[in-house]
Formats: sequence, C-alpha cells, structure tokens
Amino acid sequence: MLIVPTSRKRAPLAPRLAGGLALAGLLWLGARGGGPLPPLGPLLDPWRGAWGLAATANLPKHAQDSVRGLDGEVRVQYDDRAVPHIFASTELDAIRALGYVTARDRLFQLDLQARAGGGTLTELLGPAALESDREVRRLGMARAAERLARALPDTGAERAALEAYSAGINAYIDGMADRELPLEYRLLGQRPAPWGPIRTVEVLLRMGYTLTQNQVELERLAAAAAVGDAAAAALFPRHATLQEPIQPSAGEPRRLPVTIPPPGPPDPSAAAMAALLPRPSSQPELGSNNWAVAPARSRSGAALLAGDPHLDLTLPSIWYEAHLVVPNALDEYGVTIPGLPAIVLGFTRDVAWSFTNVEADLMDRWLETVDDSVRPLRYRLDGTWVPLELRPEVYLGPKGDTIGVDTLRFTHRGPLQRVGGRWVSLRWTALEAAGQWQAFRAAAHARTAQEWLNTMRAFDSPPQTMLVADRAGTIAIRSTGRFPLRAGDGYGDRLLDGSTRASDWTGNWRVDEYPQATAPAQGYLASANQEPQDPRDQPHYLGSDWPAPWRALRINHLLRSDSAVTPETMRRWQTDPASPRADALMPYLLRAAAAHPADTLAQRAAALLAAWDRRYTLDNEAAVLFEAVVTALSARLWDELPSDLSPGSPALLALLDDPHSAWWDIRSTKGRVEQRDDVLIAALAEGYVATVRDYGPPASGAWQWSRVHRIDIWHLLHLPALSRNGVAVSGGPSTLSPSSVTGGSHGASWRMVVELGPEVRAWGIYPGGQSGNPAGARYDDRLSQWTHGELAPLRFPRSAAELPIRAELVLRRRQ
Amino acid sequence: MRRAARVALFGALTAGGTVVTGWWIVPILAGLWVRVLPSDRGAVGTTMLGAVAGWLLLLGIVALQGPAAALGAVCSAILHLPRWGFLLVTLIFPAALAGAAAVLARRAASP
Repeated sequence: MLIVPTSRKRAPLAPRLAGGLALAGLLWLGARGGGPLPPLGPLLDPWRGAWGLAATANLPKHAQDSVRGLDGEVRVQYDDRAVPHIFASTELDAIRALGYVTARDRLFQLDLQARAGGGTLTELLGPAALESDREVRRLGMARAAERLARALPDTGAERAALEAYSAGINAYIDGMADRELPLEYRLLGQRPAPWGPIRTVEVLLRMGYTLTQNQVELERLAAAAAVGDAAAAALFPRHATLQEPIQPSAGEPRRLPVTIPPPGPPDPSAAAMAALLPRPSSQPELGSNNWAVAPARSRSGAALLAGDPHLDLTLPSIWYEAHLVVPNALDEYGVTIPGLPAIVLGFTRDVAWSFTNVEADLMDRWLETVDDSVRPLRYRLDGTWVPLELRPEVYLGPKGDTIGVDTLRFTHRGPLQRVGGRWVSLRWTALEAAGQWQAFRAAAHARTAQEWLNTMRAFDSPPQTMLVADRAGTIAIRSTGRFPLRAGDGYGDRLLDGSTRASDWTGNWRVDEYPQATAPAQGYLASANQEPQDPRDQPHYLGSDWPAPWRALRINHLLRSDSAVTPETMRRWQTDPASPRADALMPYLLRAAAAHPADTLAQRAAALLAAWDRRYTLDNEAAVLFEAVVTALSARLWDELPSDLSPGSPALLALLDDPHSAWWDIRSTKGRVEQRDDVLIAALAEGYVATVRDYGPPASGAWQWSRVHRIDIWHLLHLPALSRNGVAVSGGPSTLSPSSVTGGSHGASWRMVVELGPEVRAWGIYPGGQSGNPAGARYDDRLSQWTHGELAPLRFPRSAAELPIRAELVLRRRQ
Repeated sequence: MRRAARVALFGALTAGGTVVTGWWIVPILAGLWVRVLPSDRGAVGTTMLGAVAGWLLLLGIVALQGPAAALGAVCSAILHLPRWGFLLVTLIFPAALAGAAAVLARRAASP
C-alpha cells in the first residue's frame, strides 16, 4: 500500500499571531509605557509598585538601617506629629540622620529642588522643562553650583557636613525597598539620582533665585518709557514713601513728602533700554513677617518671638520639621528645607530666630561691547578685547538623549545674555554665595542673641532680616547678607556701562552698616519686608523694590498697643484680618460718594463699604466689593501706563491728596478733564457692577470672602489629584497674612511662636504634612489646623526618654 | 484537578512569583502552566483568573499594612480614572498578560 504522506495540520496562524502581538504589546506597555502612560508593570505591581506605597504610608513602629560613616548609633524617635527627634552622639551623625529621615519622607522633593537649581529638570521631566532649565543655566546657576562645590575645602567642616548629609540621603536611597519608591518617580518612569554636596548648593541657589530677584528697576524703566523719567521715578521711588523701618527710628510711621509730576512725554531712550531688559510677568507679592517682644512687654516676663515666612505654598511643603540632639553639644528644633543640612528657622534651649526676606537689589546688569553681534568671543574692557569664557551646555532627556544645547558666555562679571539684539552681562550675589553653612552650623551653638548674630555674620545669600531673641530677654534684629557697593553714584537700578571696570562693584557693606537693632527701648522689633532703614540712616543704596508698607505698619501698631503680649496673642496676630490699606483708602472713597449723591450705583457701593469693618474674615461680604473698587480705580488712574504696570498704594495715596493732578484725567474721554472724585465715583460704581456681575446681588451670600478668596496649594508637579486647591483662608491683600484675591498660591509657609522662659515653649504649623507620600495621613494632616490659624505645640524633649514613642528608627554604622 | 483548585494554585504561584521577582513573571508562569499542564483545556481562563486572584491576594495583604484604598483613589485621580479604576486596571493587567501568554503557548504547543 502506498502511503502518501499528508501535510501536518498546524494551528492556524492568526490566533498565534494575535496572541503574540498582544503579549508583546502588553510587555512593552509594562516595561516601557506608551504615550503619556508610565511603564505599567512597575506601577501596577501590587507588591513593588505604587500599591506598595500604601504599606509604607505609615511609619513602622520600629525600623533600622545602616549608614556609612556613622560614629555611633543614632536613635530617631518620631512624635505624634511625625517629627523626627534625632538623638546622636556627634553632630555629623545628627546631620547624617537628618539626611536619612528627610530622604525617607521627601525623596522626590529633594531631587526635584536640586534639579530646579542646577538646570537638570529635563533629565527627570523631559522637554517640558527645557525652558526652565535654560533660564537657570543662562543665569549662570549651574556653573556657579559647580564652582561653589569645587571651592569647598576638602578638609573643611562645611564639606564634612555636606558629605555627611549626602551619606544619609544615599544610605536611604541604597537601602530603599522597591515599594518605597515615591509615586512621582513611578509616574515618570524614573529613579532618584544619588546625592552629593553640589546638590545642596543647587538647592541653595534655587532659594536665591526665588528670593533675590527684583524687578522694580525694570518697572521704573517701563514706566519711564511711557511717561518720562521724572514721573516714573516718583511712581516707583527708591525709598518707601510711607515707612516704619525694621531699625527703629522715630518710633512712629513716617510719611515722606511726595509730589508726583504729571505724566510726561514717552522717553525713547528708556524705551530702547526697556527693550533690552524684558520684564518678567508680574510676581505676586510675597510677604513674610517676624516680630519679638522683650520681657517687659510680655505677660509671662519672658521674651517672645514669632515668625511666618510667606512663600509659594506646595505639597509637600517647602519645610520639614526636625529636632537634632547631641548631648552637651547641640539641641536645636525647627524647620529645614529638604536638601539643606541645617535647621533654617527654629530655636534652641537659649535662642529662637526667624527670617524675612530683605528685598535688596543684588543683581546688576551691564551693557557690553562685543566683537560679534551673533557669536561673540571677546568683550571690550578698558580699551582692550578680553576673551569671553565659553561654556557648552547640554540638556539631556530622561533616557540620556540630548534634547538641547547652548553655548553660554561669561564676562568677569557673570553670565552674558543676548537681549533685543544687544549683549548684557549680569552680576548676582547669589552666584557667589559661600558662607551659609558655617553660619548655620555655628549659630546652633549660640547661647545669646548677640552670639547668634555674631555667628551669622558669615551668612551672605539670600539676605535675610534675622530676628533673634534669647532666654535672658534680649531681642535683636539685623538684615544680614552680602550687599554690594556700586561705583559712581552708588545705584544699581539701571543698565551700567560694561566697557570699563570703573562701573564694577567696588566692595560690600560692612556688617556694622547693616540695618540692625539690639534691645531697643521700645521693647519690640518687627520686620515685614519693608525698607529696613530710614533713608536718613542708610549709608549706601540697598535697593528699591520695597513691598507695600501696610503689614509693617499694622504689626508695629499691634505691638505698640499691647504691653502684655502672650503666645496666644502672637498666634492671633499671625492671621490678623485687619487691613490698614483699606483704612487708608476708604475715607477718600466715602467722602467722594458723599459729595456726589446722584450716582445711584456709587451710593450703593459706598453704603456697603461704610458698614464694612475692613477685615478680611471668611464670612465678610464687603471685602470683595472693596477689591473690585480698587481694581477699577487702578485701571482708570494708571491708564497712562502699560496695563501690566501698577504703582504701589503709596503712590496712590499721594495722588489722593492731589485731587487735581493730571493723573486723574482719563485719556479715553476726549474733551473732558476728570478730577479725583470723578474717578473715585466711577470706580465705586464700576466695582459694584463688576461684583454683582460676578457674584450676584449683595444679599445672596455669594459675596462671602470664603467663597471668593481661595488659595491653591499645588503639588510640585502640578498634579491636581495631589494638590489641595481652593482652600478658603482669611486675609487679603496687605493684611498680615497676605494673599491675592483669587487663585493665589502664596501664603504663610511656616508659622512659629516661641516663648523663651525658663523652659522654652514653642508652637508651629505649616500647610501640609511631614511625608511626601500622598496615600498617608501625614501628607496633609496639618492643613486643617493651618487653615484655621491654629498652631500645634512643638515637643522639645531633652532626651529620648521624655518622648512617647510613636515610631522609632535606629541607624547603625555600615561596615 | 478541579478548576477552582487550578485557579487557586495558579493564583498562589502568581502571588509568590510576583513577590520574589516582579510583575513580568506573570506571563512566564502562564506559558509554563500551559506547557506543564497540557491537560488543562481551560488553561487560558485558569491563568487569567489565577493571575487576578494572585494579585488580589497581594493587594489584600497591602491593604492590611496601610491605606490601600486611599492610594488607589489617588492613583485613579492622577490617571483620570473613576475611583476604582486603578484597582480595575491593576487586575486587568495581569489577566491580560497571563491570557495572552497562555494563548501563545497553547498555540505553539498544539500540533
């Protein structure tokens, strides 16, 4: 029989192909992600993936790990507010442990902040961060970080502290279980970069970036371009025209006589210069406060100190609370910025301190002559051509691919930038800062306010008005930092001639010239970012970008009027809703309305405002109307200026006393010349109409400040699900807890009150929580207290035994 | 072996394998399952259900250790999914991996 072989029956190809393709696609999605999706495998894995973060959201009762270089065992006990109390045998061990616990709670924030300062965000976030990185590097921050880190002496205490901090962070990263990897990394498909001293420098530079840029000189230039130099100088004066400086002078607010010239013709040279110096978009007003009373003005007979730095609010918070204890050497409690191995604001058994920003002018620009208008290699200096330092910059993407390149140029002053077809160099003290660490570490050992100030002499950037109080009852204040001296007439608020060294900075202020006061006769001290010295006492030009004086006036008024201050009083003042700005402006509005009874809408507005208590409380229903009226008033009054330019309220006050000034005339009404009251009446009516349009009739309940005034606390990556937006808070423009009317994200980033009695007592709060893990309660557990203006008692045990253990971490030397 | 027992066994293997190695073990286990137990005519279903059961078991353990529901809600919100969406995706993913691998393995094994 012939057997004819038949072909083998094979499984159909299509299902096999479909199965293979499906599996390949799933594996690809699992390992690499697709489009906006992160790699799904490491994200969804129930053990190592995002779900694992649920298991690590709460601190384990007991944990242990090892850290390279530890001198001895370190015990970290977490209290009921998740604050780590670090008990170490040496200071370097305490710093190692601080690095470890900060990484444990805030690893992604550490990484992100350092990258933001070093211009390497693209490596984490991709091309979306390219412009931010470019700006940072073009300002010279990446170069400065490298130089400053290199300049740290190999055997110095500062490098040792930075290395110790790095060892702590890296020990956590190295020993971290997969399931502990922060959610943000999983969404980005990334891992944390190891820490090193340069990354701390980058974090510091980022703080400098946030706190030392001011733009009033650019605003003045833009105003001069529109209305001439004389009017612009009066609208944006170098000195605060209404002031109560931090260095007590006359003891009462002083109002400088101001005459605002009428708008002049546009100044073409100012316009040309303004084109060279593009103005960044208007920044919201940051407002920090601190104040202290001597024993004679406190009910308990102990010095009291309060501080509330206002910054962009984020989740996690910029601050991390910690307590460092080294027996007989260090006992320091307060808040640190993740990335910085020191307590920045806080207290010891002997002293307490808090900062506000000085707002000094620390960045100058020079117009340079270069040998090529497109790709210069040399610049002209004192008649000779000097080679530019060229620095290639490469921007890497998350996968190490190049997504941008730049060639940066530097003169002996700093980075050179091409703006409007010309080349402008820049010098900025933040890029040359070197003295923060010695200062912070040494200050932790001070026993008196004077000792504390002495050790902080080395602090250079960003300059801070440092308020300090001690247990002996001394209170003192000093605006501390590096303030440059300029050549010529000494001013730095204009474009300087780059062709000669004669226009370079000539030195720095001496410390004894800094604005300061110790144990003043008035028994209290306060700062709120105002011009720190009376111009009559000011030895050199310090700056001209002074915030509105209202907070300073209010807190000084409160301090003058209470001679038995308590910690509770100070807590209440930190969220004081009263508005001296409204107090100052309202009489003019009401008088104008009384003189013009025929305008029905203005009368309705005036009636509501007359009944207003001028407080920005949550249930207040007139604050929203007042703000609408002020907005309408500004738009009409400053119609000669670019629409994004609005002089401060001292200029407005000066014009309110000059009812026939040409500034009151509204340009769009040809053939008619308006006077002050015409504009005030129109603003009242327009404000009323706008408020009714936006929120309904007055009695509807929709005018409540809590429904209008919300702030947004964004997650660092602006992920709405991890943010807490639309938080109703009391306070408004120019109150002690200032914030913009709607959609702002600034506020009191940390509130602290310290009583320096026989036993130091302290209270504090920040909006957020200690942990960056959004699954746990510790992510935002303090937000509710903060919103209501409450403070939490801060536990300040002398030893581990005094503290009820909520969770414990033991760190041992890694062999 | 009864179906339920097979699913339970594959679930246990998936849970253990995921803990020891990682998510990528799921398709390997499914492929091996088909090869080792060619008699399981419903191998695709077994591995899909077993993978879901295995990961569900791990999620249960995680939930005992911390706020898994809150974590799931947060992840759902980030990914613009309904509240339970992240949990659902977490369970669909291993099922799809196991199912696709089982289909492929069975086809490859068939004469």
